[in-house]
Amino acid sequence: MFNLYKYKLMEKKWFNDEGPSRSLFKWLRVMRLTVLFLLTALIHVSASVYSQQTKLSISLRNASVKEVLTQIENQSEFFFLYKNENVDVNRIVNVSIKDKSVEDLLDQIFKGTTVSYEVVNRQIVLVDNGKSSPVAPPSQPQQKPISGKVTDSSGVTLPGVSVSVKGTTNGCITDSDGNYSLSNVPGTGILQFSFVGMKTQEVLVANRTKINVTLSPSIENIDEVVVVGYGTQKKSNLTGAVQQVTSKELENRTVINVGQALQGLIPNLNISIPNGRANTTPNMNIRGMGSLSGNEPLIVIDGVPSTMTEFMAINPNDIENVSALMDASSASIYGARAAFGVILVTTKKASTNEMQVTFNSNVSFRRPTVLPDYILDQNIVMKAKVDASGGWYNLKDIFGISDWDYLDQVTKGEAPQIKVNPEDPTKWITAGRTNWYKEAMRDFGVTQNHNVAVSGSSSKTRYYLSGAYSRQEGVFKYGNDIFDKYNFRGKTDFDVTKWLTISDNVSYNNDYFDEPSHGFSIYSLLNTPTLDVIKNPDGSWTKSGATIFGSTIEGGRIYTRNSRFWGSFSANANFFDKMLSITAKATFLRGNKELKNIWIPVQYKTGPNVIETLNPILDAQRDACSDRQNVFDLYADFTKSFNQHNFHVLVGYNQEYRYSDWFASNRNGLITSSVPSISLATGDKIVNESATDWATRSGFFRLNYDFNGKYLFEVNGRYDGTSRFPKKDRFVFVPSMSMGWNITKENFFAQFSNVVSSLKPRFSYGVLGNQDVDAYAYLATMGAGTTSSILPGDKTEQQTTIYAPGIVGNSLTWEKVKTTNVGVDFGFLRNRLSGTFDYYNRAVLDMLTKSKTLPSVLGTSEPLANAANLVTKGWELSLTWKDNFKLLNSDFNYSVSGNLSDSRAWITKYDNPDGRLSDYYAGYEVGTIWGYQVNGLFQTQEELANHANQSQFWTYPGKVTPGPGDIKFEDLNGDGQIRAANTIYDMQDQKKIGNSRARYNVGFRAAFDWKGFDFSMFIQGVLKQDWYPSAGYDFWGLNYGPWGNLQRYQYENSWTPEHTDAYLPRIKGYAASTWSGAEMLQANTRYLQNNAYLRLRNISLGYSLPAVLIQKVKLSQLRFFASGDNLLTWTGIKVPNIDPETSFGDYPLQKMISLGINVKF
Amino acid sequence: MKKIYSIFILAILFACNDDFLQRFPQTSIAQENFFKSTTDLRTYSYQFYDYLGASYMDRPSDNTTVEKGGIQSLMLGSVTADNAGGWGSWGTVRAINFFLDNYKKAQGDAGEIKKYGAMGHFARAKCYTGMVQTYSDVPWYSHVVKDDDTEMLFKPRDTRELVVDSIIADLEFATANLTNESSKALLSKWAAYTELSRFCLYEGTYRKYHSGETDLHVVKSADYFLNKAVSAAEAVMKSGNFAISSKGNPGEDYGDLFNGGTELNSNPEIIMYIDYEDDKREHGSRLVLDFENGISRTMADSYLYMNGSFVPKSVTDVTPLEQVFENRDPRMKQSLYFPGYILPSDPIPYKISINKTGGYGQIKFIPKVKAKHWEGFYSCYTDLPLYRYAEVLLNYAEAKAELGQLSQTDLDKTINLLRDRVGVGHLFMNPPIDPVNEAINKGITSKQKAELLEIRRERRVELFAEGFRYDDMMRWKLGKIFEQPQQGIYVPSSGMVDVTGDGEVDYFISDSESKKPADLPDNVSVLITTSDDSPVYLENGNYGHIMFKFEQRGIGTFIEPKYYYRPIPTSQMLLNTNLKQIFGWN
Repeated sequence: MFNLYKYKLMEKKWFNDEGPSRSLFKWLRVMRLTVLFLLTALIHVSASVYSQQTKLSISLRNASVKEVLTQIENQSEFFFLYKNENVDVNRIVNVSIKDKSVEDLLDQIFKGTTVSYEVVNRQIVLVDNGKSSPVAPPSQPQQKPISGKVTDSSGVTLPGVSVSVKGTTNGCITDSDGNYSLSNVPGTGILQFSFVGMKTQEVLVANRTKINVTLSPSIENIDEVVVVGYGTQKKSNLTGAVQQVTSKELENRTVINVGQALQGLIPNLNISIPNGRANTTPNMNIRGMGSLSGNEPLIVIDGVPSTMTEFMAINPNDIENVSALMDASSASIYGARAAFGVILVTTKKASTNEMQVTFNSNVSFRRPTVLPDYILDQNIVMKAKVDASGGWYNLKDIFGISDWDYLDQVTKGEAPQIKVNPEDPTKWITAGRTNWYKEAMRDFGVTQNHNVAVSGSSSKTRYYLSGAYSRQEGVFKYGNDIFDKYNFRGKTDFDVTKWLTISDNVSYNNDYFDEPSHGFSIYSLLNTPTLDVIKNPDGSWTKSGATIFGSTIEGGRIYTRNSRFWGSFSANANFFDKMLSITAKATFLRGNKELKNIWIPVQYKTGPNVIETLNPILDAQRDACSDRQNVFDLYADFTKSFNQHNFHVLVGYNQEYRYSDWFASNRNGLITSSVPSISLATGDKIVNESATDWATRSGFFRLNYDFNGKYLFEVNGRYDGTSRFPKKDRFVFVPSMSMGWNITKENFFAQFSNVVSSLKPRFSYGVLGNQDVDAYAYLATMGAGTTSSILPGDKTEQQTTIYAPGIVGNSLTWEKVKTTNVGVDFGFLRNRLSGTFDYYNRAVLDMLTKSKTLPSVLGTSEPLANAANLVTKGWELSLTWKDNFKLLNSDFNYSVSGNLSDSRAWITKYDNPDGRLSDYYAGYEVGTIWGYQVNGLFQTQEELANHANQSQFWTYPGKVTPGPGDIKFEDLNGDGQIRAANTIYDMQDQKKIGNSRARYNVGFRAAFDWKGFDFSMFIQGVLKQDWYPSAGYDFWGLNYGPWGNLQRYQYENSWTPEHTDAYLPRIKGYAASTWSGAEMLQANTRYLQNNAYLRLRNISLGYSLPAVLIQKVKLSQLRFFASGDNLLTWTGIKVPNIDPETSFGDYPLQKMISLGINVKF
Repeated sequence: MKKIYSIFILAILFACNDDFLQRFPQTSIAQENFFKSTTDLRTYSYQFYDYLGASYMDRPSDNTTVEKGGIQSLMLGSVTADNAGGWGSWGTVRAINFFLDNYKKAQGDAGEIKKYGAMGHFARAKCYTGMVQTYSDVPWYSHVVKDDDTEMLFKPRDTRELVVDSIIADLEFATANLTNESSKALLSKWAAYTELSRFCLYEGTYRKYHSGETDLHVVKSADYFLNKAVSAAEAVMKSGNFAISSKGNPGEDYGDLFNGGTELNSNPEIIMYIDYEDDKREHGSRLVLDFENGISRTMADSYLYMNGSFVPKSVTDVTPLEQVFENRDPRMKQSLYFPGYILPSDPIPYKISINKTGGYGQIKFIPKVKAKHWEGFYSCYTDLPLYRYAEVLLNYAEAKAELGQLSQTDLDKTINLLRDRVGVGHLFMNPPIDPVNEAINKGITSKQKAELLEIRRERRVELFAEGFRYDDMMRWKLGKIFEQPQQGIYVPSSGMVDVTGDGEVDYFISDSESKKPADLPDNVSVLITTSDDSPVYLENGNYGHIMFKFEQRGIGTFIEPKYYYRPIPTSQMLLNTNLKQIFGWN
């Protein structure tokens, strides 16, 4: 075997040799350490300079050659390449040199051997001239020569790759341009390409004579390149807190938008998905609570600030990586809008390779994560409802007749579920057992995603084109909702001259949501009585049937269409041998949204001859929204190194303008429901519009300096102006600095290098501004509205009126966000274990909020002022273990990674010296839940009579007498009266009982691949969060009111005289409603829920067919996979069937099973 | 060099032209550009109409049975400053004051400008009236309060005396500057006079019957306001613009005012009404029958016989529903549900839910025709009277009687006009006293007590369900009535009730299942009062008037004078320590 073995790969400082071309060839930096091979070859001149300048001092006795080489590598940036079996590195030598060149040292240790060396820049190749193996003579007449080029996935050529014909000794190493050539290769031969750090690849020769190969890394993160604002940085040089995920972690998730795929991947990038509707935008937040006025991260897609909706609209398969800039230092280049972090999204780049086509396709089958479990026996249900309405309603009120016998009969199946009311023959009486939720759900909803991408290059042009189609059908049996999404993207780079490249990046997105206008609320599925039935004996709808199903099927549809065209056009020029690079970029977004809606009345019958109409108005609606955004960037990038001092300067200008408007029209009295046009209607026209615009203009810079890759410094700054503030308060300068220390590069650290591969403490500090207020918040304006009164003006109608303006502050300016960040990046055991830890303290000063609460006689909201402070503290940790070993002669690659993060926030300044709890106060921890101590329920009337007076919380006093089974609030201050706290100094019977904010967000991922199989699983969760159930049927069931349904849990776990140790209080209608008393809604320790959860987000198994098989059909990859999402959930909520993430009655979150295929050729 | 060049560009961009960063709202108006013309004033003033509302129920009051709203919570002691919400309509006050501070800037006809100003003054008076009736002393603001005006923001309550004087000044400005309007949907001079007479009558009788209450910070006498009430009512009466509406149908004329039976804009009795239209502005007046709105026995018993004499207690004590309506004031069958009543939406007589309501129901305000009124909960669009002439007459008569100046002439031009419409015998001076009515109206101090008792009865009957009763109870200091349990219809010991008037039994009500006849038809609703799920019981066990278990469980105490007022919420007390609770609410 002619195999080049790299003894050890150290982190190397290579910055100053990269040349001055940083910005033009930014893409060059998105590559692994292997780029060194290319660079060393390209820039030959400086190589000898380095070897001559670098002086070494080594003194070792009885050391192996191997140890000496290690020492050299530790002290310098040299690294050695040699044939494993040829050079005897275990030979014991004595070395003692001081301030000598590497040549002198090598001459000394190889003196008297046949080993010779060649210094190529920092690479030193050792060859034992006495042991060179003979090349096998040609043995088969049909053999032919083969040549080609080897590159890595980012298109950088790889020198030093071993290429051999499998099963022979015929082989070679690629040259400095990554080229290889072999003679005498049989057509049936299989070429094997192997290289340290890369996966070995096998290619069938067939009748080809030119075979180009792309190798992919086997272990990542050896030295990752991370996308930062206006550029990239090597992870080892990073001084800010930046977390990045790559396409690898996002690929093959069968998600409709990227938000779902990102959830849990980055510590402290907190994503919550409020419901399972296809077009729902997730909520994202970096590092927890930001400011009272908002804490959205800035989203930047390919360098352009974008909205969350726009982010969700892009094709997940187009994404190359997503970076989260967490601290002030990394974010401040984006200035005042980046106060709460930046999410940088980079799409896949135009490739330098030959043309490659990728095709991905998958289909998923989805069902809701939770299904309600109701008691359906009519007599039990009715008994519970009558109990719940004690004081209000009796059987006749709820049921229509007072006839328990009929209920018993129908429960036994001896009577029909619907019959004519004997007391009122015009009406029907129903005693059904309809689980509306189940009735409404399909067995599964189907999602499909199809994506095709073509990338490649010709001599001066590089391109990437992709198209995707997704369709998600809702989970409902009737009147289902359908979401269609189309994405197209085209990127081209064209080299006009050697120094000028022009590029475009154009995308078009169109999505279309088609849903019923009278989409029954999920809420109504859950609270429509099971005793109702869907259809009457004559086949007509019942009222409930019409409300739920009739209106979804017959009641008309809403169509929402979003289209976005997004184009970025840029030019990049570089000068002075690439030392200076200038980029100019113009980006335009044009988006529009159309909504068409028709409401069609639906008829139902309440009795044999009583026809009624639901939603009696035939009405058409047409809305349109448009967005336009223009962004101009101009920035220059300057790089210079001398000796071991490396400088990099970035200076730029940015301006942005965004305009959004909305126009709505509505008209009733449609002539025909078949053509729902407002021009074909006779009724009143209602039209409305609104428009908003804002502009920003900024200059920014970044300065990097490092000494020999060891000591890293960075300074950022941005001067920002916004239209959101009055002229005098419009501009702000936001600076930041950061530094890092690569300890492992220190000589003294060499002794630990076998264990600690990298260790870099970091520190950063910066002040950012936040401008998150309404576009015209500083201007007092009078809004228009329509009266409810119908008055004779020019015409008798509801008149337009103008309302008084609110109060605006005298001066409004930026919130200041100061972030201190201390972090460390580390890698152990040859980087098999790597990770990052960051601790931060983010103080928001001069928060835009009301300056203080004023008496309500003010008559309007208090004006905004820069009045309050808040501090958020937290940390994030991520750990990854990656390794591989041979299992049954094949590489078994596996990785286990996890992340954990936390944040807490406190108000540190707020004008509320009295500590009124209705307001914030200094010292308040955001999310605090105040409540009562509840140790149990009243068991007897005497106990109740002797207990403190709870009359403030009685539910409809007089209607329902307090009694055994009711909640017993502890009289903490012993004054005989249960009272709520008014101020923190007067807590009465309340205390802190919990906190509603999510803490300890966790993500855990495990994956392996072996013999073409790949497996991964991903768990995400929140480990600490309290929730006090609010008014509603979900937790409280019939306690919310007698009109809901009887949950099995409530039936089995409510207090009754026979079941006195039950968890829930006695069933008591309206006790959990907000209308009166609301005793069950008083937060208390007994019913405070643990809303922590863990969710098996994804589990997936794939199989890739062996290369030798698929190469016969000219494919380079063929992979099949199956995956499951949200299959398992662990939650601490006591009442079952409540999803910890989705609010009750919202579109349900779904679990799904998916099948897919990936093809490359 | 390039770097220097780009910095140079930046410098230019920042230095010159900041139009790019100056953006103005495109769909709202800057304050400086408004209040230019009378059209602007008219546009702004439209919102004042949204503050006006008409009632079609008397909840809570002694006219109704089941739903006493907040009154029961109050009487059972569940209401405290901690959990009481409310405290003022300060947003409305600000919106009005903003107008009053600015309207004079408009260019145009001086009279017209004043007219719109008058609307603002009227709206402010109306807004403050509600607050005085709830809190007595409230801070008065005649201008917009700025956020840095701490003196105004943190001032204590002003006295009732000051606030009431200010309200009257506002109303008098309105009567002086408002005009006749072409439409009765618009606020006219006469509506303002009616409001003035209503408010002055309220305040006059309030001061009379609440005199001596500590914390009632007043100076002027009751008579001052009663005289104003008389003169304001007189202004309307003398205008000659209004008359009691009658087409000669005593069985319909009254009810038609409330059920869409007559065009209100052209009706001589209407001073102002609220326009409702299908799909635009709708109310829920069809819900007055059942839906937690039962009518009390004392209300039903208030209706006189046709000849103008009252129904003695000995009769009302034993008359079953089937016979109650015989020979009574025709307004009764235009106001209350009666056996055989058919809803316009139904083909057969309506069967009232007596277990919920007690057996008396309200039909006044139920739309007369089926139309689309029945297509949703709040889908009725019959126009509703806001100010009608009958009230003016009643205000006049009552004020006169309280002043002791009532004469037969006065009765003839007021009460007897109302009776003429329905053909009920006239009221004469020195009428016989109905002990039941006297027991309800305790504490009358006028020397014309006998007349006053009948005037109050007339008011209760004529203005039934129009939202007056609660305010009347408060000003006459009748809160203690809430301590008496309400009653519904009389049920004989047989337990049989025919509510539909077809001679067939509809309900069987008894205290024992065993008394139920074996051959009871299927369609008879059975109500066993001893059963847990029966919300009602019978006065005397197995017979008597229907009564309500919720009142049996706890009816509470109407603490006087405390419960005539409400507390300021603790949260506001904490914000402004100059505010003090009064009438024992601390």
